[in-house]
Amino acid sequence: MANRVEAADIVVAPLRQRFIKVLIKKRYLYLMMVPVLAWYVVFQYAPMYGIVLAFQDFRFSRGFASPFVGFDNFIRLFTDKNFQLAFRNTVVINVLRFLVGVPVPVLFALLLNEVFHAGYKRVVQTVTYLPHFVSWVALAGILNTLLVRDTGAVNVLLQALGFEQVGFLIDNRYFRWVLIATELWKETGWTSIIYLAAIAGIDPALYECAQVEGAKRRQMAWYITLPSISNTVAIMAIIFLGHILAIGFDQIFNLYNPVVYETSDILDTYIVRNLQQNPKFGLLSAASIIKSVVGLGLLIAANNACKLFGMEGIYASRGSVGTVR
Amino acid sequence: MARQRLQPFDYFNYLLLLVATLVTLYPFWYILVVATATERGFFSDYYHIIPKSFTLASFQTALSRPLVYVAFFVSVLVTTAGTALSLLLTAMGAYVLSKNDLPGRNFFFRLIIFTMFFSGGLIPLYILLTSLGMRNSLLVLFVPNAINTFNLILMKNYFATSVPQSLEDSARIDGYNEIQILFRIVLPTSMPIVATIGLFYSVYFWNDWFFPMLFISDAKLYPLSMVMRNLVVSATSVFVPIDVVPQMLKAAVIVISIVPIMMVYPFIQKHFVKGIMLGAIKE
Repeated sequence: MANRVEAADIVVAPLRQRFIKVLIKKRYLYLMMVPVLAWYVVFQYAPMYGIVLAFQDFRFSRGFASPFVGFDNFIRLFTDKNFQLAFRNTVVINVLRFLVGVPVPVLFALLLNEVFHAGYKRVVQTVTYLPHFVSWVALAGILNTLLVRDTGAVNVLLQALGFEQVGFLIDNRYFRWVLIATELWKETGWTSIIYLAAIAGIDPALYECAQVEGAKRRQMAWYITLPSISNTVAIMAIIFLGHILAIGFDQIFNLYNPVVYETSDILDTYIVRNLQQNPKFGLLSAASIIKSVVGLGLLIAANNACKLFGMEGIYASRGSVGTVR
Repeated sequence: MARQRLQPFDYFNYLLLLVATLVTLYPFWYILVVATATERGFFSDYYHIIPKSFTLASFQTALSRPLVYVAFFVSVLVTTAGTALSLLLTAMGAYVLSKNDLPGRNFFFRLIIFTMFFSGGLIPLYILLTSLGMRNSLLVLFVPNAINTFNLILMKNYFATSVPQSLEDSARIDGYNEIQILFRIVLPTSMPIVATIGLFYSVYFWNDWFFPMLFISDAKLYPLSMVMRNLVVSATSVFVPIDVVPQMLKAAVIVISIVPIMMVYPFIQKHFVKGIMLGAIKE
């Protein structure tokens, strides 16, 4: 009886009353959401309006009422030699980063998984996660002294082994590889944590079965472990692509110098350097939009590629960004 | 899986991982040895694997500079305040979003997710913060970057999957409201994710040099990361006294900036895998 009355109430009660009823009943939840939404509106959504800057000849004195100039900023960017260079470097460096940065942590996790002394495994993990938490500023300071010619430990070692010294941080032939190598050094351990978690979730019965059948460890790794984490690898690869234009900035901005701009100046460093030295807001906003669009395009392309290969992709379920099954 | 016998592959694997571990450790060890070397010890060696001398003189030089010790306290202040604010906002947002049946929840969720894929970019944010008068205010170092959406979603997933619904329900029967449930029931039972995300945030605030570089020009308000950056990257030698070897002073400042992270890290490291794994389970 009570149920029927309630149901009738809901049908009859006007939408607004129901709305207010829910609002009152769940008031504490909505109350908690207020500061969170306010933060998003002020610091995330309000700046989005600033996109109009890219189509304006921005003057601080006139603010957003500055004159519109259409696509002028974009045209000027694409005819600027330094911007072209930054665009090309962004693509080249990130392709390298992707080709090395996705498979190596998977391999590392597979090797770590074969270690059966728990203590040894824990020590390796603890140590290799560590660099992830150290800032590129500190690391740049360390690398500067380690890699410098004549007194840096690496070059001294090279010479002792009979090789020539290398100006790692000042030579356009090597600088990109220094970026790739130091990034691997910093992040491989940390990235592998997700794969190790995924491996830990594999049903042990699969391995027991394989063992009964006489499978070798190499075969188990190849036919059981790897396929079981392939979806995780795909998701990580997509996330990697989605963030690819955002990462790398800290590293490059702290390690590079004018001598190696030619091979290392990326869109982000181009934007920030110009913001500090020669702030043309309209132009830089346009550069930032180009970056966003390329990033979004990469993300969608990668996601579709994953679906082509029969994997779930990133939108498989709501809120599954960065998920492990 | 009983695998007692070590195969040739295992020796190779153990050795490889040992090398990887040593290579990871070496730069940190190197900088520590340089920072604690005497001038003589510093110039007598290149590799600095085995410490040949020991003194805390470089630390004394560094910490006797107001620029460094004031910066240290600025960093502590910003990191503490920032982590507290970040955890508060993140936990509240995550808790509300973990209530799947809440009307409007999907709208909130999409609003938040969207910012992971698209943003206005740096320039509008720069103009916004400048016109809000946040230049040279410590607030600019932790308010505009208080929420990391990725962390919020990790925490939301953890709440949705790992906090027993029955616990919340019995608290509701006891007359707790949702705010009390979050702070007295949900958060205390979610220590792995709180510790993990708390570490993420505090490391971020401690290390951040980007916002200080853009928005703080008053040297009295520099956090440690900024002082370190000026010393290490921009090679600003203003405060290197003549009788000090610059590399050793740099090493000391670098060690001072890394040590706090190393101190917290072992205590929280054990939560990582659990926090991340459970937080990452699909809904």
